[in-house]
Formats: sequence, C-alpha cells, structure tokens
Amino acid sequence: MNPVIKVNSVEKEYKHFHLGPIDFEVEKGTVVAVVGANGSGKSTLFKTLMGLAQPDNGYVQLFGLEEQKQVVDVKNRIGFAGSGLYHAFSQLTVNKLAEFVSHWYTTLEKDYYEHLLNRYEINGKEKFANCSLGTQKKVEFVLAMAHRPQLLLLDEPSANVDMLSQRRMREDLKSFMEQEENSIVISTYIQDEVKQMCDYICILDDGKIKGFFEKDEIRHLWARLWISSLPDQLKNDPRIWKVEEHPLQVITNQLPDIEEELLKCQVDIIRIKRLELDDIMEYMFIFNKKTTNTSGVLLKGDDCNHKNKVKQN
Amino acid sequence: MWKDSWWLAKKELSFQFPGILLTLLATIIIAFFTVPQLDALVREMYSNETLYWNPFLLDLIFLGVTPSFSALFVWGPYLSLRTIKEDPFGKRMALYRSLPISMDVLIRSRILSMLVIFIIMSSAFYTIIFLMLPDSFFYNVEASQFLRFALTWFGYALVLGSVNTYIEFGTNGRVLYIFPLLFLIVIVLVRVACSNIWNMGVVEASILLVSRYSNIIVIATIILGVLGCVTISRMLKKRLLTRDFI
Repeated sequence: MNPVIKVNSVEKEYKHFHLGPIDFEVEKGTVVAVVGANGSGKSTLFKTLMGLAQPDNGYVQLFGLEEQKQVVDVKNRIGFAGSGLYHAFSQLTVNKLAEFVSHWYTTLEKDYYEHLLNRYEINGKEKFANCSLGTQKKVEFVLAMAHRPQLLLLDEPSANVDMLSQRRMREDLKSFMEQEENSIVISTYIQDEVKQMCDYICILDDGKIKGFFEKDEIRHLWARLWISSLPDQLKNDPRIWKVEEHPLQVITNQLPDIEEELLKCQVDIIRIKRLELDDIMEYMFIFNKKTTNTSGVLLKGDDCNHKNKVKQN
Repeated sequence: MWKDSWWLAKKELSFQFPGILLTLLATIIIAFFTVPQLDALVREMYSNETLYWNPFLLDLIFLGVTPSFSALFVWGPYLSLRTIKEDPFGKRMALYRSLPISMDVLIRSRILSMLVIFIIMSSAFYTIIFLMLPDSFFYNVEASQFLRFALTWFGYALVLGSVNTYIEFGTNGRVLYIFPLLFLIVIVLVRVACSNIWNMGVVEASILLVSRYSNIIVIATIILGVLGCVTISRMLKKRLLTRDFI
C-alpha cells in the first residue's frame, strides 16, 4: 500500500540552517506528532511537504504522487494550517477569504464551513487582519478542515488558541480520524494533544530526526527506577540516561532489559515510575543524545539516518 | 484553465481596487504633465519654434515610466519599505501554491492581471494625451500617426512591463526595490547614448521612425511585446517551480 507521505532523503540548505537528510513515511489512518524546539526545522519540514520549499536533495511524495506534477490532485486532498499564509489577504473578511479559498476545492461544503465558524465562535464578517492571533489560528484550522481533506498538515494549529477551542480542535481531529482513510501530521508543543491524539512521535532537533517512535511503546520503555545499588557494568551503559543519588535512581529508555539485568545482579528495585511524554522529550533535548529508530524504539548512541516507517495500526 | 485564470485575475484585481484607482490617478497626472512636453517637441520639430521644454524628461517618461503601467506603482507594496522585509507578492504566491491551483493557471492569471492593469493605465495615459493635446499638434502629426506612435510605445512598454510580473512573483521584496533603481540607471545611460548617436531624443526619434516606417515599427514592437509576455511567463513558471516561499 502506498504511504500517504513519503519523504526520501530530503535535504534543504539555508545560510544558518540545514534540514535533513530526512526519511520517513506516514501511512493512512495514523496521526504523527512532530515535536522539537524552536528552530528545529518543523515549519521548514511542513513547507517542504506542501511544496512551499523545494528540497535540494531527495523528494517528497504525497498519496504516491509528486506534488509538483499533480498539484491540483494532491492539494485537493490536503488541509494545511500554518505559516500565516492568509496574511497575504489580511484585508479581506474571514468570509471573503473562505469564498476565495473555496473556489479551488471541489469538496468544500458551505454548511460545514459555517458549522465550524459557529463552533469556534469566529465572526465571518471580521477582517482577518483585525482578528486576534488565536482567532487567526482558528480561521486557518477551519479553512484546513472545511473541504474535508484526507490528510491534515497542521503546524502548531492551537498556538495562542483559547482552552475551549483547543479542546474542540482535539475533538474535531478525533472525529476526523474516525474515517479510516484520514491521516494527520501535526506539530505542537501541547502535551495533551500528543498524548490524546497521536500514534507516533517524530522528534526533530537541529534539522534532523532524532527519533521516530510509537507513542505507547516509548512510554512503556522509559522509566525512573529507585534501586538499592548500581552495578559497575551498568554505570556507563548507554541505556542508562541519568543517575541520581539520595535516593539512588536511574532513568532508562530500555526498562525491560535494565530491569532484567538489575534482577540478575540481585539489585533491589524499590520503585518504578513510567515517565510522562514531556519528561521523555525533555531528557532527549537536554541531553541531546544521538538517538535512532529501530522498529519504533529509541536507542541512545546510534546514528539516526535510518528510514522511519510508521506502520498502520 | 483560462476560466480559472481569469477568475483568479479578476478576484485579485477586485482586492486591489483602491490601488487601481490610485495608480490610474497618478497615470492621469503623468499624462497631463507629458502633454506640454510632447506638444513642445512637435512644434520644435515641425515649426522650428524654440520653446522651453525638457527632452530628457520626456524621454524619461516614455522610456522609464510607461513600462511601470504594468504594475500598481501607487499601491502598498511599492510605497512601503516593509516590502523589502515582508515580500507581499511572495506571500500571495505562497498562499496560491498551498491551494489546488495548477502552475499554468497561476502563470496565466499573472499575465492576465498584468495585461488588464497595463491596458487600463496605458489607455488612460494615451487617451488623456490625445484629448489634451492642442489642435495645432495635429496639424503636424495626424491622429493616425499619433495612434501608431502610441502603439509603438505600448509595445515597448509591454516588453519591459512584463518583466515586472517576474520581479513581483519570481523574486523577493529586496529585488522589487532595487530593480527600479537599476532600471532607472540603465534608462539614463540608454538616453545619453541615443542622444549622442542620433543627436536627438528618443521620443523625437520614435516620431520620425513612425512617420517613415509607418506600420512596420508598430507591428514589430507589438510582436516584441507579445513575445516578451510569453518569455516572461515561461521564465516565471520555471522560477516558481523551484522557488522557496519562506
């Protein structure tokens, strides 16, 4: 089966930034969260997927098609929110903007658009330029959803958006994913969005994919262990990310293996606590360790330029 | 495809309606300013009168200003220094590229939009000149000859004016600002070279050319104008397929 997104060895060079090489595939029916610090390359990645930035090397395929060659077919099936694209016509009202955008989509339903406007409490008669940052984000989201795409590419859709609308966005994205054909790639800083919606997490750092893993699997593998002692052979083990004293604790990204080894060494494990996603990501960024994806598992100390493939659930 | 191109061009023009009005007003003022200069030139050419007028200024208007009739030069992006940083034309193209619009529709809409603006401004410019010129002007230059003169400059302006489309959407805000300055320098150099070679101004030379070669020069410049549009649309397509919108 063709993946919805195929990114093959994509590289993009800027004066002070290098994206890639990036390889990954997203198959339909999955939600992938792209997370990373500011300037890690998330927006550049989204623009590359949308054909707004042309890769120096490699290629991007969406729905098995090349964006440049079959732009109408490809873009008709995508809903994109991000990059403040609508600022180009910020003098227009939201409704005029929607009218302009809707002309190009064969599937846009006016009723659904109006339903979304009401749901997000957007005044369609207000000029886009006069909308608050949060409302502008909501307009982008509504226009991305209104033509019922098969793939949503959302670059920080809920930034500056109020809590109630954030919750509604999550609800709408969940119902969007009830259609088996649909997929989402979303970049976000909001942990609840990652926890509640995403199947996979792609960690970008300094323009490179540092990890691509299944959300539940990573939570199963990362843990903090309170232990009676730390055997010598584990002191410099790459699976131990951090050691803390008083009381003695270790943080690992390979819980089952480490647990087994500790038991073999007759070390008492006093307590095990699974790490929250935000803690895991913090460790990854703070320690800036090299990580890779092997069968959806993050490992420390390996090179990361492998193909990251998301398997359909 | 043409239907969608025209729809896009029309929409964009309607969004820029105040800019069209302002540019039209500026064009009419330039035309008013051109009338006495052109009249003085012709009177000096055919009646051997010596009048106060500025041949350099007249050449500058025809060589340098008429090509800018293809752009809304009295409108936001051309008047604000923020254009250098914000690149509003690039932003507009980024939005278009994110929508399901084929490249051919985009390119054709750019050309159509440019042509509509160019035809409106050029028609206003030459109509005002025609209406404002005194009857004495037409004792020396017949109305048909004036029409040929206008069409010749129309063709010239179309060749260079179509470049504006490429500058607006194929480059960035910085180039949009630098290009007119470079263009002005080139025009001044061309004007100096022509007056040294022919010992007359370019507009004066064009009146003589039109009277001697009649329709040939008109057809040649119009064909060049059309070829200019075709070439620019091809160049723009190539550029947009490789351009980054960041």
